[in-house]
Amino acid sequence: MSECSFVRTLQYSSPARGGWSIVRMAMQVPESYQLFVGPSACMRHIMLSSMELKIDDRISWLPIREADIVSGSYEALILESVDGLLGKMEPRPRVFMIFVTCIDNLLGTDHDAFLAPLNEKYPETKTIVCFMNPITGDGPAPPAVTIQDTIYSLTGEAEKKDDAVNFIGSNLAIEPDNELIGWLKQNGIETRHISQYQTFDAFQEMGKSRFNIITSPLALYAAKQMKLRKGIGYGYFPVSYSFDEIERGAAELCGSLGIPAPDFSRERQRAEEKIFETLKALAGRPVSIDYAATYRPFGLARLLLEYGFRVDTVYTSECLPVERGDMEWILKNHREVKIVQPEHFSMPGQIAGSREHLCIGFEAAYFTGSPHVVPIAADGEHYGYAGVVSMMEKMRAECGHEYDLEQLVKDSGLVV
Amino acid sequence: MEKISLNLPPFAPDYSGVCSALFELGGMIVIHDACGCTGNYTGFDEPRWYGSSSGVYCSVLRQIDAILGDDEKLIGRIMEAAAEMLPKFICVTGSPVPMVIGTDFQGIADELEQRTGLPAFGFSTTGLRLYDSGASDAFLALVRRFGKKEETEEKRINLLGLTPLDFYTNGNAEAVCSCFEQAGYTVGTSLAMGASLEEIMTCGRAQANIVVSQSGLAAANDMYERLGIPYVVGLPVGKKPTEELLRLLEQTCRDGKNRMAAPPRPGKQALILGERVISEAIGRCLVQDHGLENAAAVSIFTPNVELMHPDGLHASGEAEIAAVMNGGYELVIGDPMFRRLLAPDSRAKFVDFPSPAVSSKLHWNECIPFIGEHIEEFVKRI
Repeated sequence: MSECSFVRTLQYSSPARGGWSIVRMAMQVPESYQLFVGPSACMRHIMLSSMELKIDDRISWLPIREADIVSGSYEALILESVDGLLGKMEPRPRVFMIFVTCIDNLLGTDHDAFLAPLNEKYPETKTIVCFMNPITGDGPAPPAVTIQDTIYSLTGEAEKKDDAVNFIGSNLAIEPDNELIGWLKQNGIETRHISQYQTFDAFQEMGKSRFNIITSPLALYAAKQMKLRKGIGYGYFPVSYSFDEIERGAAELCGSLGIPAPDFSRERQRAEEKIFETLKALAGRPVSIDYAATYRPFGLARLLLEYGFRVDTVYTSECLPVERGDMEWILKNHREVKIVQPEHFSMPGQIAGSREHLCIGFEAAYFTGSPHVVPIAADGEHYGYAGVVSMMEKMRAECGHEYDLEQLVKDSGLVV
Repeated sequence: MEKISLNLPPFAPDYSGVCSALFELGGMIVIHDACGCTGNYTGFDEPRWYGSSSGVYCSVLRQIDAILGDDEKLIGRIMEAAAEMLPKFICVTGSPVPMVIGTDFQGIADELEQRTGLPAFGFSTTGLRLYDSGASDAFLALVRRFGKKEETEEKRINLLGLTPLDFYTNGNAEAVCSCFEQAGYTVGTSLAMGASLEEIMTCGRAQANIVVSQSGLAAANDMYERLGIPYVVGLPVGKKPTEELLRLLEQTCRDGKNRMAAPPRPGKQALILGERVISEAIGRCLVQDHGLENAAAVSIFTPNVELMHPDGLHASGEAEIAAVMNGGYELVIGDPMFRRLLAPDSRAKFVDFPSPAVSSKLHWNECIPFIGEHIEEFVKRI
């Protein structure tokens, strides 16, 4: 392939498509509760996936009927219902999230009509509106972006910042043995991630941190808002599989924090050793990678190709700006690598039936038909050289392991 | 407050019913939505999705398209895909946003049909109604479009109203066919599990239709009025009720009158919650084959006046279902998710009978074969 252009078509959703839902992201706010308001259909996958994940004790839904929309009683219905629910809750949540859906964008709802009286009556509970409106998917504020902003807007206010940094944008905390976390710690800087907090009060301390490390593009907007509202600086240091980018990012971050740049040559060497071990273990086995496994499918593919792995296919429907160089490098130097749009209308039933492939991500596994899967979504806990090492260890381990993919997808709790 | 659902998920919506009804027929099915609605269907309402090559797609509706009412983008995308995929027909079905902006699905279908030359269906589904109404619309559209007056073949029947949302994929649909075939009937077509579009085109040859779920009733009425094919509403569940159903079918084939299997005698011994035709069939079996004096069937999806008996019960939503469940019944049969609605002091014995339209993949692997004598295994749990 000498060029690659992604096309917009009718969208196919493979059975392995999905990721963390908005619900699951927002549930990370400790002591929060979610009420979904909208046409009943909108909440079916939300409620069922919450039940699968056993978090449905913190969520409920309020159906809107045609009559409610036509009569304009939508706001009154929400006010009455939330008032009734909050009045009965014991203990009351610290945050009550009212999620509205796509139709809210077209109805011109006056959110203050219910937020103001609810916040006045229940001052110990912050009642807020959140958005589950995929209709905004192509705009600057799709739901996965706005929810990050909502989540971090709930952190505390502190004029005096402490010696700590937040990792934002990753669903999971970066692995504790990560070299960057170690270096920051050596220099007296604590690291924070939302998943470590059990109480809303403790979660407030993320607002005291002096810097946000943004690990995925989803949290860029949230970081900009935190800079404006809370005075917290930020830098975009995304998950990377490029050694140069990892080290450049670490040096730049340390510069921003006013600490010396680290020397990660030992970590680099360890990562290389792991790559060679994995290369040997795979023994020419083809590798497929999908966009849901990592924000950097082209970057990961490039790393593997540079060390001699046989990368067969990259499944993705877009190329993030930060990935453009890696994609072009692959197109120029490895024309044998297929770039496939998993959402293209021609994809139903396109299952290759290969049991040989090692697949990084669920959709790659679905389309190749291989039982060898690195079951990871949105880079998991990976970051830096430790992330590369972890990925190599997983690739090696999964070569000798087979999954029932259908069950694996079901157990993963991923939602479209 | 009572309108909030704390324990149950929303049930399968109307667009899932449309898609489920048409899934096996080789068409191109497009849900006009932003992607969440398609995710509902493919992720939670379609047990046949994994490994399937059926063409069910999302239109990727975006805010600007909704504001501008840009139907041409949708039509263009469908035409582009249809030119390559060569479907047997096209179906476009709605979701909440098109409802708000008043999308004309029939108009879009007409346009597509004119431009592509393929049969095209448009359904104004809204996501506010339930799967059975969507499936009903789809079955009705199929028979209106393809059902033609033909010479009647004796003892040939059609089964109307089969989808996995009611019958799952564990052999129930096949067992319904077998029951009638063993009694000497030929099943011409079944709408729409295990059937092809070509078979459906021959539906006008049948001597009678069997309405196996509420979603088949509108198609049956159309075929009765337009093609003169009478119908019987009921399912072969258990020994004596199956014999009774076959007697009704025989009478209907003889006199051309529509019939409905009688509901079980109402009372407090047992309560069966679910799709009306299925719940009544199970209730009849418990009474006629297993000595219960009475059983109450409660429909929980779309109420239907034609199928509602004077003593019939219907419950919509969590509060009403909870109220009826706690009405002093000795035995309650229903989806496992309903168990949590029983009052703490309830003495009722609850027996799981999963419904994919309620609990989806969380319990569909536990769905029970209940047609004919298969019900006996289930009865042992009671």
